Amino acid sequence: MSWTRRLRVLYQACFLALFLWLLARLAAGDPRDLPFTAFFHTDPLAAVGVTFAAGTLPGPLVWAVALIVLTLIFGRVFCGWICPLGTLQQLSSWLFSPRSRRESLQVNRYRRWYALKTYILAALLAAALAGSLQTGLLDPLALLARGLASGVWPMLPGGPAVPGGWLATTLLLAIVVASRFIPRLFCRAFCPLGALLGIFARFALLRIQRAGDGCSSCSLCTFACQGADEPLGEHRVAECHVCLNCTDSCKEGVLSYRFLAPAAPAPARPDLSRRYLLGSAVGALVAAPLLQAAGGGRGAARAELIRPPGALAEQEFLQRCIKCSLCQQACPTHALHPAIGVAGVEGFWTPVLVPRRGWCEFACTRCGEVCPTGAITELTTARKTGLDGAPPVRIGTAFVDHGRCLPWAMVTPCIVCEEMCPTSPKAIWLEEVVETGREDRPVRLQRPRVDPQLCVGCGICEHRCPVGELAAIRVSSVGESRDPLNRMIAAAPA
Amino acid sequence: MSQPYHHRITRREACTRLAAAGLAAGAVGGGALFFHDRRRAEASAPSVPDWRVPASPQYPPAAAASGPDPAANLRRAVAALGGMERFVRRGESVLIKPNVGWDRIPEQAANTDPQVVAELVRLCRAAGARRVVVTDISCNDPRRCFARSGISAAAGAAGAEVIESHRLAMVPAALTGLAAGLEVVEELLKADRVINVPVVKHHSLSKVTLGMKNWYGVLGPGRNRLHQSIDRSIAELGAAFRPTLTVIDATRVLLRNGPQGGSLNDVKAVNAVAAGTDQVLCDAWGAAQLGHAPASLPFLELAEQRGLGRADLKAVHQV
Amino acid sequence: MARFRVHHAALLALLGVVGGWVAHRGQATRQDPAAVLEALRAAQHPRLPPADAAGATHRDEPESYDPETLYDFIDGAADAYLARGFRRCAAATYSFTSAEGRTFEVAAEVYRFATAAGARAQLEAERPPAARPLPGASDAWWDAGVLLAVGGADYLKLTAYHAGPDVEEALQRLFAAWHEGGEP
Repeated sequence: MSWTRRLRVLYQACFLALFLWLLARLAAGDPRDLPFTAFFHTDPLAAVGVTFAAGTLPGPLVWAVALIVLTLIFGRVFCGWICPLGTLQQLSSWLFSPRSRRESLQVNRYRRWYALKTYILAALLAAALAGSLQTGLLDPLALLARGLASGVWPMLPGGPAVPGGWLATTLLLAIVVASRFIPRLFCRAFCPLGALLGIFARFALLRIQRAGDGCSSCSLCTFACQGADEPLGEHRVAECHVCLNCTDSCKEGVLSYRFLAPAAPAPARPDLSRRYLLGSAVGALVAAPLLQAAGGGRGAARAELIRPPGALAEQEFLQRCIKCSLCQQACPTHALHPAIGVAGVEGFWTPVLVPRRGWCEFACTRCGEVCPTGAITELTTARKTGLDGAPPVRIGTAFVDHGRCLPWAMVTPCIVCEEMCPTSPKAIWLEEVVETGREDRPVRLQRPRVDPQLCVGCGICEHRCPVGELAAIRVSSVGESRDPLNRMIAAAPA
Repeated sequence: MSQPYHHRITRREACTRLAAAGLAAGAVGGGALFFHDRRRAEASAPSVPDWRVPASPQYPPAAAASGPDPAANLRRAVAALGGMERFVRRGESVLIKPNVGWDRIPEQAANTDPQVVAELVRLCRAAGARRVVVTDISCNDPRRCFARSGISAAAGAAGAEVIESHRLAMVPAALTGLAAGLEVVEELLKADRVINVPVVKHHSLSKVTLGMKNWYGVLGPGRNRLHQSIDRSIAELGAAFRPTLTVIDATRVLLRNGPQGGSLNDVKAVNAVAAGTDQVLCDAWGAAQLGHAPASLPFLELAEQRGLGRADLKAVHQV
Repeated sequence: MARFRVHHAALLALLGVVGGWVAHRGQATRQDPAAVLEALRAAQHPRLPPADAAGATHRDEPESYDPETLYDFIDGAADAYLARGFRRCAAATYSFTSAEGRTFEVAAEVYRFATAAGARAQLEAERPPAARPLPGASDAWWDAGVLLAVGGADYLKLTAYHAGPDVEEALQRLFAAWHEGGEP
């Protein structure tokens, strides 16, 4: 194995380890200022998607330009050297499937339907232009992160419980298992990031060149080809992962990776059908608003849709959220969960706060700190808790269920919710009454009442209420700071 | 092609077949023996030990010290009780139970002052303790509570083993009354000596939360039901858990919006620390820092009736 | 096997740079508790000294006002305060008994502003032309039955409804107790 190939394997191993380690540290609440979001900041799919959907490129995502420039120089090196999901698939392909040479040739053949990933990209970008950001569904970085958050961390001792996480985990598993049959099938056929990089790779300054007449058609180059880009035939630079296995294996010295190598002749039948491309784009442009409207319309506030503190108003939020699950992993109380139905079709897998599972720690601002696209803005503790004089950030309001609450309905003292309320003065205040119980005995009760001007909707009251799974005090989204229309109190400050 | 039936079996074949049958029988029999009635009914839950040292009439039941340095206050109060050597023998393991319930910084007086906890750790180690554990079951996220309260850093630097809530093992214990069936921190039951070190705070239901209420922090899920008869539950816990020493931290006290406060307006700097062997007396002293007379607190009265101590403030030796 | 070339070394170095950067970021911690404490202090009510520190016989429980409720306290004058960045106010009445046996009261108000400049501006606007600077203290002026002072972003206003040397003495003692108070 040449040094270049050794280095490539080293790069892949290091970046996979780094990706996993950073997310593990994030989920463990590591207090250090580690670059948890670095991978996502360089993600061109996220950058282009958010720019199309929101009309603006959020600050840190400008690093994605660096990756695009890298691709313009070297080709799809990200796919071959960096992408952790790619590495994972390769591990699966290598570990679980010793192949005969004939099999290797078969599986690494380019298939015409691999153009699907470009149609997917077109559909996703068209949907983004229509205002619906769904690139996160198939973005490999987001996909891998979600799979970890929904499936792997819950497996470990002390890990969170993520109901509905089986979906994201199954997707990840399916991709890894599929690679056993056709190596890196996801990368070749479905990955929109790969398709995007492939577009830029067409202009790459360095590419594989097959020069000279020495080629004996031994096909050694194809046995280990990762991108299925046919180094033996018309080398498709848009598919090439620059793994350099082919240049390494070529015994005749015909293949090399060169600067300003002449481009391979265009294939007789173009890979991309203009019809399908246009069809995907137009289809998405139509489907996106259709699904939006069918889902109840965007901007319609939903009582159970409690977003993280600092989240933008729903329309802007959906234009930026790439469903990467970083906020869910960063949340110290595991309050954030991937929405399945509660945020509509568009909001699938976006983060929603479930008070029965976890509450929003009053002084904590982790979610906004790690959101790579600014869908959740970064807050300071002083701003979030209202120490700077302006009102605190609210995500909802708590409502007491008088039919279930012990002091209200069962002549039994409690006040756990008031005890847990973190604001000062407390948003839950106690009304003292004396009631006679069933045996005509006077019982002094303190009945909890919520002050909507003070309640921030953190949900610790609902989380700690002893009245079983349907708590006697529950938070709903009305009163949230981010939506001026989702209000019930006239005097409530914005 | 099968052998005809009348084929004579060789001796070797016979031995092999007998051995195989015997082995199979032995394996099945052994397995049956092993698994037979293996899972018995649960052994009875362990009872909570009594961590007290024998009473000594020469020392006061409680002592209090005031001053700008919380660590010095603690040292003077413990010295007036006979020094830590009276409570911790060489080679014993000590568990210190501060209040680390809330995601607050020390200035907000929701948790025990980290300097008091650290000094307590140092005193125990100086007296020869082989292991000092500092732990509590936090109400907010334990990593944030232990970090922002300053207790993790201070106690760790003083040589304690700080165990955050989510790493604690819980076991059933033979608790009676309202807390029956609740689990208890396993480390607590394994410790030789236990020191309870709460901070003085207001509480809406029981008016104040002090030492006996601090035992909530060693109970597992379901403790949020105890509030339904809070005064009785506090007295019951005071009867169930008898610590070696109770230290009441009044460096800063929380006047209102307890037990977690938030605003600095709820905090008052009293700069005092009390220590004692009488849980009831210590709690009475703590309540007095908030301006409550012992007679006005139902849980104190219930505790006195159970014989857990005497709330006679005159018995507190002022250092 | 190909030789180890310059570009291989460069690639290895690049990997090292990435690792080094991650390690460097790992040196610092994210949270800054000092910032939170600062915000907490700024949000706190300004402090009024207890009665005995000021040599008074009694002080009632201080009342506090914020930008929303200041109007209830000082009516139309609130506009000027708000314009100068008023944040919070603490007000209480102290009772004094002089050596001659006379009892009188002093109203004490501390107004906290967003900036020291705001506090100073308020003092300048309210200072009577005849007021003299208090000897031994900077930023403090007094006139008959009135003492005004600034400390940081806090503006102290003491008003007595009687006159006399015992009143002046009480005002100065109260000011000294407030001035020495510092942070709680």
